[in-house]
Amino acid sequence: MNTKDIYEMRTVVAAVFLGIFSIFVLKALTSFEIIPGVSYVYNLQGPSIAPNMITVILFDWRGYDTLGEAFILITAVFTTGILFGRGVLGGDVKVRDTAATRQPSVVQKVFAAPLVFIIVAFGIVITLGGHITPGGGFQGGSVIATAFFLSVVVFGLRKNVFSLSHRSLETFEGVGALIYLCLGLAGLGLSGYYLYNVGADFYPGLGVAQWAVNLLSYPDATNAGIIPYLNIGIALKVLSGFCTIITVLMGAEKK
Amino acid sequence: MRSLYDTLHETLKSRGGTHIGGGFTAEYMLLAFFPLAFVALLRGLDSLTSAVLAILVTALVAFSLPLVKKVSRENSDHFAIAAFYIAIVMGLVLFLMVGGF
Amino acid sequence: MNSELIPLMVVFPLISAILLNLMHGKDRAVRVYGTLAMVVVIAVPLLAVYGNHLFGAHPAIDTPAETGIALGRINLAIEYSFGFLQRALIFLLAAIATFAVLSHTSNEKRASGVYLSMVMLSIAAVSAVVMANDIFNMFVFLEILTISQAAMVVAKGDIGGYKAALKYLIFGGVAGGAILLGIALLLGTFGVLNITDLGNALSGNTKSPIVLTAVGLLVIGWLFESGLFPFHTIKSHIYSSAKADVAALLQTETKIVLVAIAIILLRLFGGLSNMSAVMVGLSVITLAFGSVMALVQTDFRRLLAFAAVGQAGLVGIGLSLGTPDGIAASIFHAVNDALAMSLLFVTVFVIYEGAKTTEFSRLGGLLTKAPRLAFLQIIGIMAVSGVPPFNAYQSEYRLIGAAFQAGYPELGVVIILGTIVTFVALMKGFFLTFLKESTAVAAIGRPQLSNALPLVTFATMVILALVCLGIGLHPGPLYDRFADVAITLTMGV
Repeated sequence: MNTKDIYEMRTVVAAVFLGIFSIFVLKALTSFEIIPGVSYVYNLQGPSIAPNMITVILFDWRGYDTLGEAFILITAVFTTGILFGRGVLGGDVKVRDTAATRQPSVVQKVFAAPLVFIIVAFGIVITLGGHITPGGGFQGGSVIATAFFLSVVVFGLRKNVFSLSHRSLETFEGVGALIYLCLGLAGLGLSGYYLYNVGADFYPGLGVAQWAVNLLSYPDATNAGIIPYLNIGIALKVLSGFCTIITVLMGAEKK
Repeated sequence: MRSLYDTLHETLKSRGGTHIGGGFTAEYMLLAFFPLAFVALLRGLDSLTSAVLAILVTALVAFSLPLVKKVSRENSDHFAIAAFYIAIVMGLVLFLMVGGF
Repeated sequence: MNSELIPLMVVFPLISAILLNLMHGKDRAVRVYGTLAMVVVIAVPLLAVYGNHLFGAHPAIDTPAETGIALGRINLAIEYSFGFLQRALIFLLAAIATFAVLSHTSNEKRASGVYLSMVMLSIAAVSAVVMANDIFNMFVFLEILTISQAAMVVAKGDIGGYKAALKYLIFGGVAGGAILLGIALLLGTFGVLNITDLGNALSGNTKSPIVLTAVGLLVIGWLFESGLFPFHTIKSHIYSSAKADVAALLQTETKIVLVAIAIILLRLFGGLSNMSAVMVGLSVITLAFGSVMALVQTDFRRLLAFAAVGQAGLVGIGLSLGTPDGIAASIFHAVNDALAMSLLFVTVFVIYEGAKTTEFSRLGGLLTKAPRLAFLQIIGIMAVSGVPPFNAYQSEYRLIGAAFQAGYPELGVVIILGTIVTFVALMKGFFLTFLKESTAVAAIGRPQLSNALPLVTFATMVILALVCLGIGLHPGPLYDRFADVAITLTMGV
């Protein structure tokens, strides 16, 4: 039996064991009964904060998890940067800007520019209304990022509608994440609990000063408090994270 | 048996004197690990099953001498080898957990 | 009791990570801020008061009947708990990370803000995993940990690092998926994510196939995060592909996460004999293969990487036994081994910086050039392999005792064998580097290896050696409190 045969036999063995794995997982998935659990409580209390339950759960009860999720994205963006030479030990590897300089056709030019603005407006609406209608920071940020993608694909990296440099994108991303982190710190400083929804002031017994409540409550009919601001932070971060990745990938040289 | 270890000796010799010592220590340690790990892991089984398994393991060990060569090949950095063992362990863990033993 | 400093242990490194990334390119700012931030990172766990922290201030409530949860009261908020164990582990992490940061800022010509931000992210992630009393939050930060560890390896900028990191991320995806699926099964069945609540809801309910599937999936995740078999080759590849000062941090993080997740598993499914058997089995295999593979390596970094993985198996054995003695000895050994292994990785880092290689075939005769380094390395070797009077002796001795007490004498013998093999492997490395006569290194290495020893690196090695010795001479203060933690942990089972 030569090495190749051994490897072929191994593929079969691995497939058998993965089959066993899948059978047990599928059996568990088909037979398990889901109870409402803690999400029932969330749905009971949520409407007193804002109508969009998903946003309320994500940014209020599980707001800290959302912070973590946002940082997964941030870490991934930084890692992409490192992969293409930014921050490598022993000095950055400069990437030459070799993005496509192909001229866009007339149809592309005529349609892309207005479409970009429409998409950006749509993204902003999704972000700002995230606590009322379906949407939120993640979705709004991704929508705005698609506008950036469109503009980069049609007009190239240097002369696109946004004309954002890598540096300013990073600043945006940092600012977005800092908005989130600092709103959490505001809760910690004012009430003693990190990410306490100061604007909504759900538990008045914590002694949050009235001026802080007024400052951080979102001026609309809901009682969303800091949730819309968190959405804005997340949107900034997601948008600039995706844009950074596309900028890096477009600028990468073929080796 | 003798020729087996002579071959191992020759292979290790090319890497230098210290590697012969290291290689042979590794070999004997592996031989010591197998029965001990066997006893530790399968002591809960009844005598018939463990006897069958003991014969199987002994046969496996006997046919893969010298162990150190096989073991270092199976612990190399190859993606395929790592993936193979991960697949096996994933199946085995769920089998042992859910299927019981 | 609500302690306001608890979230800062995670949030401060996160903020620092963002700021350091923004500062990237401004060399001086990165150096100064990076160093100052580490002071805070070390200080916070020492200043924080023991207690719990509820994120968003949501209190525990009486469970409405409609939820279907079989508990009287449930926690609504994400909860962090902070006690002696958490303080010890986070302080250990902060200390080793401080060395990694200082080593970077003092050895590199141009400080990299992105790289330091990755160190910060991994500190935050490990601290969160250690403190999390919420199983989903643990998962979120494990993901950050995996990506940031891969990034620290990639930052070295060579093709080997890219390969290792890619492999690490691919299998990390598999393991992360397994953990998430396990959590989903538990959440769907019991309706809660808080680990204390989940443990209460699970008590006496662990025999259903769904729970057992979830346990299996979580164990697979645990194996990846702690680098146990079959993920040991990947972990060792990661350790040896990173710069050795980063590898010291990586292996510390791995051991801390190993302990943290194993404790969560024990809290949830402590009485489950299947789980314990699977965990013991895979730990034994890791110990055997890790230490034997260390013996046959031809590269010093790779040798250390496998030795570190083998020692992780040792830690895993004690934790999986599930007895108070075993758990306490394991946690103690994790701390000791992280310290001693870090010392060894730092010595190899110095060798690499001086000779630009760690291949045994190209090293040799360094004893006359770097006697201080040789002395520190031999201390590290003795500390790792459990030679008295150093720290690992105390913990390995207790581990063997715990194995005997738990009724597994053969495990005690396996531990002794593993220790001997590790000792032989490390001594082989020492011999080939320092004692073997060779002229090869003269051609490639800088002769001033010992003079060029940077002060920070030298001071770190001396401090680590002294700490190893100190813990070895006075194990009581640390071990007794770990024993208390272990007893509290096993009482609920």
